[in-house]
Amino acid sequence: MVSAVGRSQPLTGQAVIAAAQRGDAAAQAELFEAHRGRIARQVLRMTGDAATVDDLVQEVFIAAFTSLASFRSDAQLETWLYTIATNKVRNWWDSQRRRQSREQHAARVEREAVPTPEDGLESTEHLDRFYAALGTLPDKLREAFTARAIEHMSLQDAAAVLGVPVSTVSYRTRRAEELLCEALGLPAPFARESEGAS
Amino acid sequence: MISPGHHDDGVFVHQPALAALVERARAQRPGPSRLDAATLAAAVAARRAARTRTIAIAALAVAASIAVLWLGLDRRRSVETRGDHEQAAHALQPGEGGGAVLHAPAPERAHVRDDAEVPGDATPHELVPQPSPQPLAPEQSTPERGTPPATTVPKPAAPQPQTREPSAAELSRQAEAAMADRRKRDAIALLETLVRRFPDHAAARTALLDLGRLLRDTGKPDRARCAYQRFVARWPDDPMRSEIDRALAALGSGPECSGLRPRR
Repeated sequence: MVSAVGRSQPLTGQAVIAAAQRGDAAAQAELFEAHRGRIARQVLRMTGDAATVDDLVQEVFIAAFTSLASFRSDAQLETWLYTIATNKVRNWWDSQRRRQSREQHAARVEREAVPTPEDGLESTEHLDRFYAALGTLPDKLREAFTARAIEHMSLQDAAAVLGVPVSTVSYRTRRAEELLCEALGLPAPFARESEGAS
Repeated sequence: MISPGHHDDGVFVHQPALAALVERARAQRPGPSRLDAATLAAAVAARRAARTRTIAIAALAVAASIAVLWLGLDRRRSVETRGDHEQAAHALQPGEGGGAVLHAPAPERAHVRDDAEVPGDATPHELVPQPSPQPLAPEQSTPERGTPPATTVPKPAAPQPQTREPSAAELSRQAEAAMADRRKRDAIALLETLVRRFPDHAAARTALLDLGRLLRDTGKPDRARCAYQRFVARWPDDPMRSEIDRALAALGSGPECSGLRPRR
């Protein structure tokens, strides 16, 4: 689990977690400093919106510290924080959808006839289009794709943090890729595979 | 740059152009942060205070609801009891019930011992369940040997057994009583019944929360997960959502659910 969710050894021990659970401010600050960078990267990769990272990171740690007492010491703190961050990001996408800002942005970009990702990869518009397309995916597909394709988690780790069977993660990731290719105007990924096989 | 990414589980992204975009997304680094531990600690304290207030208000609201419900039921019960007594008194009016003569107060009229002689084809049991706040002692209700009974009791309207199923509020109240008595198994059974029979009732919301907690506490994580997942499916935007998600995360993965039970 740790190998994928957090790629380094945990920086804090059970003693720090226990102290933080008792409300020790210094221990909570230590946990925050140890995990903030990873959570910030996760949030940025999931949203593509640098402006929202600080807010979401703060929300993640507020949620974590207000319910730290319920955290089981035999669980992985990194996994727990990853799940909280995933939920916060999901709420963020929901609010984005409600305001329809993403949809409007996606529509505007599509009208502008920008080059496809294959034409040149330097333009930041490509990333904007990618995240706009990511935002149109159902939550479950987006979260599976993010965990696997962007975070490079193993199937087992992704299944653990998403709380679904490995086969479900695999299916959702493939389905998300198909939908993303469709939204970005790219050739279907799995048709190409079957052509190559035949 | 990756073309299709690789890992021990295989290819991450199969479409090369999409894989390039994903790699760009992966390579992003957050800029300098304005967050610091002190600001966070202040925000946590403020959130805790707000949550405490919310819980206190919710507890008051629940207590008030229970009180209103209880008073309402109590009133209804007393009205029903009065109605039964009036009905029995009407049936015992002289001239209408075969010349009955009444001497006893209304609540005690229909209280007849099992071994008392019962006119007509009525069985003793049909007459016993009449509610009586202070049931007579057997020696009081039995006519003295050798003296004619002062009261000839005709067959009153026998009370119908309550066959209607309990309402969601009743199930909820029974479950709360079971939880208060630490009868967790009973509480689980009652809550599951409530959720199955009244899935859209407001009481089903708290029932699922309690059910998840009780099942978890009684060592049934898979069933607890099913309860929480059902809650999330039914109330995805509930304020308790983040709590539920954390509970689900703590429970870990498991078999998929079919209703409230894990699929085997």
